[in-house]
Amino acid sequence: MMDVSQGVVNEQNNTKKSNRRFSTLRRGKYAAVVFFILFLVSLCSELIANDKPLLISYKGTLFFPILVSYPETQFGGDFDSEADYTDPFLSEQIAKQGWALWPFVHYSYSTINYELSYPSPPTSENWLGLDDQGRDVFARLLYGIRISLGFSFFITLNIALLALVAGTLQGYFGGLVDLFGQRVSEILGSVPVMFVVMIVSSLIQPSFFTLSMILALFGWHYLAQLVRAEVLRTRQLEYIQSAFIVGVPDWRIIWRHIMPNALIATLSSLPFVFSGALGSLITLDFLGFGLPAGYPSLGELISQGKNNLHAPWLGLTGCGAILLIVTLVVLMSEAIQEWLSPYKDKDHVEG
Amino acid sequence: MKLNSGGMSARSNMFNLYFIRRLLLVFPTLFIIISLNFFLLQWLPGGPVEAALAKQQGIDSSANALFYETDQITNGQLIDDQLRDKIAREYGFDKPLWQRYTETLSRYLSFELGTSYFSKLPVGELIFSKLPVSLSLGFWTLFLTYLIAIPLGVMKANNQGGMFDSTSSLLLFIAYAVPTFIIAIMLLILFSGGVFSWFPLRGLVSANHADLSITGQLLDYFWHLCLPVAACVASGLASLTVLTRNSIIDQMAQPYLDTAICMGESRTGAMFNHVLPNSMLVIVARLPSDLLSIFIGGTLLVEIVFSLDGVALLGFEALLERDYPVVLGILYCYSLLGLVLNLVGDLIYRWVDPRVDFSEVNG
Repeated sequence: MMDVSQGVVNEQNNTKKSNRRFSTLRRGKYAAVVFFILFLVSLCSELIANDKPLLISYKGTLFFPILVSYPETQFGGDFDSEADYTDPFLSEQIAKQGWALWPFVHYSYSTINYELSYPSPPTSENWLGLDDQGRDVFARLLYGIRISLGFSFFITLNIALLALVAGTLQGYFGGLVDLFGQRVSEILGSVPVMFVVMIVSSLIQPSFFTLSMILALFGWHYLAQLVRAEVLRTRQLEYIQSAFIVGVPDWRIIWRHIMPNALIATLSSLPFVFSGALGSLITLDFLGFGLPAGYPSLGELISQGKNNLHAPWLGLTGCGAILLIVTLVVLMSEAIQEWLSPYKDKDHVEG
Repeated sequence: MKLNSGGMSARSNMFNLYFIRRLLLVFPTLFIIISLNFFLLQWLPGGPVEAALAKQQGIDSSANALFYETDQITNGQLIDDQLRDKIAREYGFDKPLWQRYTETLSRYLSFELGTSYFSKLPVGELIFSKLPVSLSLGFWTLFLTYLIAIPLGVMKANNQGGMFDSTSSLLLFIAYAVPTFIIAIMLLILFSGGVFSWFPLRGLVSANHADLSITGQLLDYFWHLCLPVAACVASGLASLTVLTRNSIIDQMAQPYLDTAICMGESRTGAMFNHVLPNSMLVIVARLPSDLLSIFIGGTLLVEIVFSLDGVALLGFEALLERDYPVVLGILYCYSLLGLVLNLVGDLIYRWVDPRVDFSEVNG
């Protein structure tokens, strides 16, 4: 009697679980689609928001201002400098003897709109308003998302590589290697990392690559702990023990048997590494220790929002974009976890 | 019986040995941290000499200046060499590097943190004076996190796999993955000036705080703390809630629960008498690492966003001014706190769950 009712309950539980699993996977798939559309769109930023036309037909010839820089004299101007296509005189010239195909938004991330006082609220011309230096927020957001996503991908890749190597070596060889690795992890874990990164990035004027290297160097240790634990576990498996006994060389055991296991284990925490990297870049940019001034960065947009509380659209745009990206990443990570461990419970948060 | 107790003492002996080794390893770790900090700061461009000169020339390098243009703090050409030498002597920068290094080391090992270059106050005193603000933020965050996370975790465990469970999980994960200061800035824009002006923009107390009655003072204090604490709680909630949930689900699957119910205990009774106390152990063991993440992780930027005059803001402004002793002192305190709390955390884990064995790797 007891057994039967237990069975019914289990069955109900199982359908509930598989329903949830299904909807999580579907949600994750949609999130991935939206995420990659966002990424692709931001990759084409130049074609969507630019202060140069995509294509100009002038006196019967075609010009490609995005690819080639033409002097103003080409279009009937007086100066030899690069043509400013927003100049009314020049656009009139082009309109008279041809046509110009413009992107959706006539502003690049650094184009200043001198016609409005800034910061200005959204208008039909500047879809998300102007920031406190008169630049179009929509264009800055678009270019900023591209930099943030590209940057976070790059750091995630570096961290995954570092963590895989360090964690595998630590777990496989143990002993002194492990002791040393654990000390390094402990130091990185107990030092306020953001503080140290701030110090380092004020020491060297950080570029895209140096900044990502610094963040990766200070961020691998947590993932390495996971890899190490996984390697310690798989090392005890029978087929690996047999490989030891028959004398398969270490590098071969690591490469063929241990790495793949460790890779699967890291895969599910990569989305959190990604959002962590995104967060660190935004934090550093916000504080002024990130990418050099002039970059279209989300962190800078948010710091403008903080300094201009009378212009709430600045901060809300920046925060909204980050919230959207993080939500998509979380939805994808849920799906990845569900996909990797169909029978395990999915709720796990790293402390 | 005798055999058993013998085995126990051998185990606890190994356990003690492990922790003695861990304790001894704290010292080399600490040494590395101090050296790392010292040399990092030595390499910084625009050292305290330049910063002091800039200050004398009236160039502002406080935190506010940072949000505008900060590239021009040092203005090398204008500086008179004699003045530079004088200031360098004053700050002890004429001594060789190794001498300053060994001095720093010996001072730090005796908890002597030096004096600030600019305010001329001892660093320890300076940190101590900012402690109430940081502790306020940390304490209320921790308190509220535990107060919300445990009932929420219990509710989620009872609703395992249901609508409430998955929706709240998703929200918690998002709050966990969004950087704390983004939540802080969203709250700031929404509720203190941008859209609504319900909460104060900055500080821990109002300007007229001293004139208020005791209740008025308390209300004022909590009113100022609302948003910063809310931001910290939002991002810290996820891990504890999920831990509570999983731990309770774990306990509910244990055979002793069935036994208790078969012996006539009600489900609620079993829940309160057995499941909760057992799952709480793991959660109490989390306390040190939660303390650590609150003091080292989130509050730094929340203090900066809400201009709370705490240790983190002190360190940040000192970093901008290149006030080495203050920056080093704060880093040292944080790192020491981190090491000690990590060790205490491992100890409590081991005490709560004797099956946990940290010394499992042996070659």
